[in-house]
Amino acid sequence: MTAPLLSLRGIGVRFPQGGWPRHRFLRAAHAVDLDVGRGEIVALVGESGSGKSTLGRVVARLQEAHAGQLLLDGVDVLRSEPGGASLAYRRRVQLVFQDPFASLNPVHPVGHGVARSLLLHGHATAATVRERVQAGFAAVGLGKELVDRHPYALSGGQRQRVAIARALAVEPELIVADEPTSMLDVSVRTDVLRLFRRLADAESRAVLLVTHDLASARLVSDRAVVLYAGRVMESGPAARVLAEPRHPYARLLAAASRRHDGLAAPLPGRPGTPPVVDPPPGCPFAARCPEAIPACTAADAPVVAVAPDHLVHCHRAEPA
Amino acid sequence: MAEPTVPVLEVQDLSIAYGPVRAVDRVSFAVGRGETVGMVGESGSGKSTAVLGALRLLPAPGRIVGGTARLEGHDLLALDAPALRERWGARVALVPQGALSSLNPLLRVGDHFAETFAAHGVRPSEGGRERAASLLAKVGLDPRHLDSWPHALSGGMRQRVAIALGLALDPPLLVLDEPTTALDVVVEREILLQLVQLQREAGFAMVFVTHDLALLLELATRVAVLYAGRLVEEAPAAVLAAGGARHPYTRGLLAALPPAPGEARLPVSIPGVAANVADPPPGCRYHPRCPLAEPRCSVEAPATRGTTHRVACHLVEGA
Repeated sequence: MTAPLLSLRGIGVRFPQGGWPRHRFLRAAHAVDLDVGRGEIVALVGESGSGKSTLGRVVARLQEAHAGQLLLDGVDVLRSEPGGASLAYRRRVQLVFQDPFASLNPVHPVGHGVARSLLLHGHATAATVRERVQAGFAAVGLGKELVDRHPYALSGGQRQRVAIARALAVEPELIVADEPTSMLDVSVRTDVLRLFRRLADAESRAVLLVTHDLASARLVSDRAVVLYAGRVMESGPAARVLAEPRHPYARLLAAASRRHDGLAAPLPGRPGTPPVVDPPPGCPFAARCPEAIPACTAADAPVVAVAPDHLVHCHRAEPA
Repeated sequence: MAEPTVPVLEVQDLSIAYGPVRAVDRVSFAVGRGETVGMVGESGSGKSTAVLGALRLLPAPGRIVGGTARLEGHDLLALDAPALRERWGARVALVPQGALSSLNPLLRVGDHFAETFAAHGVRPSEGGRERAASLLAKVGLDPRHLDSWPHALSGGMRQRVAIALGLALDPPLLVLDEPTTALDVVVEREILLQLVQLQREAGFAMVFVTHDLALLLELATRVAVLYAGRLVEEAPAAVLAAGGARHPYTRGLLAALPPAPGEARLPVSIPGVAANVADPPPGCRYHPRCPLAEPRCSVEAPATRGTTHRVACHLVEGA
């Protein structure tokens, strides 16, 4: 097996919250390990405050990590490019934002942003750029007549395709997509998700899909990582992690997302919010967990391999 | 108290216009005691407009241009402002989409209840604070939050406050406009479970406006599907969940849902773009995207047929 394109090792992100005499921190991510291989879609799932968007921003280098390594093809870019991402890094790693109503400049035709990206990275000249933009639109299923339209004249699904076309223009190896379908109507979501699948399968691009939508994640991703309070709870093949989760938090998330089984069954876990400011020791989910034991609040959970490629961060998990 | 046979809310042929644009076109639906009717549609389908309009809660320039809306038998469209204010809150309450914007940032949670009680003539001496505390407890919040400011609460807690405020005067009808759209799945589920429990205890009717059809299949008694301002299908949720949808648009929406775990099905998008109500296609508004469209679909608008299962399509019958 070849090395993954992207590896996070022990990534930690914290935001100072002020306070005196002792400074308080919001711990957005802690000791996160994550791999994304070429041609692979990895879903990063969790609720608000889980740190999933923060990690997406770390990978896109829009957010600094205070600990850990960010390896692209084995090179720790936090060390090799400490001042921020180089143009070369930004060419290899592109970001698609959540809101296609906010991420496109309203005063320019939608082709403009794609053209700028092509010219900036030297992928086209003034003479060829129009043709390249039209080809980019065609690749994401948009008619070439749309390049001269302004964002207001496009639907949400079309706008998100423009945003994806802009990211793809520079032929990135890794695409970080932060909730790319959450603003879209359900009737067009599937098309956008399928587009990511095709990019992974046909063009071997790696995709880190940040989402709170388990059903979407299950649909297109190869592997999934479940986060809670900035920590990995479970990671492994998407089909198993999202449909038959082992970690109590992942089970709560799956039960809450389950559809077509009525609103009869109570949720397997107590209400609560993730402890991210001055987090207590131990497992962050312990206070809500129906299966918690004293060890859970005493020490960090061990990483238990319930299958060779399926890791559960839980005191109660049994190794395979 | 309404008789079980008289709907709590009965809306007939309601049409609403924004200037020259008819955003809602002859929409009918009804909800009875203890029932939940789900209104579903994509952005711009008119689902919120239809429901807010029926309750006379639609701000200008939205204007009702036709139809009737009866709340417990009284024609809401004929009531003057004082008579409406008497009913709002007491006979029907709205839980709006953004709970942060629906709460006054300058008032503590308890003051919101006090305002509601005062507006309906409940004097402070009549135990308003105790009643407010028990309402918070009912929606799963600690009564000490009566003294909290809205900004200090999480989104889920604010939405619980909005639901408790809606239930403050024990109205027979609760209208919820995308009440859980902005919430995380676990919090959404906790709130929905609580709401269903409260409905079982108090027996109020609910109209639940959402774009989330999968949610309505679980929550609603009946589901009304809107497309470009028109009702295309209305049927028992159980019928839709069991594959009994008849209108091609409803079938398309169901096919676009992500499969449940263990379900061997790939979701399929509906081709094309949702029709624009400002410039709707002629005939059936869904015909440009419909896989079954025939020549007459682009000429003649289909009538709504059926009683227990209503469908507006040239190609299928209601029931």
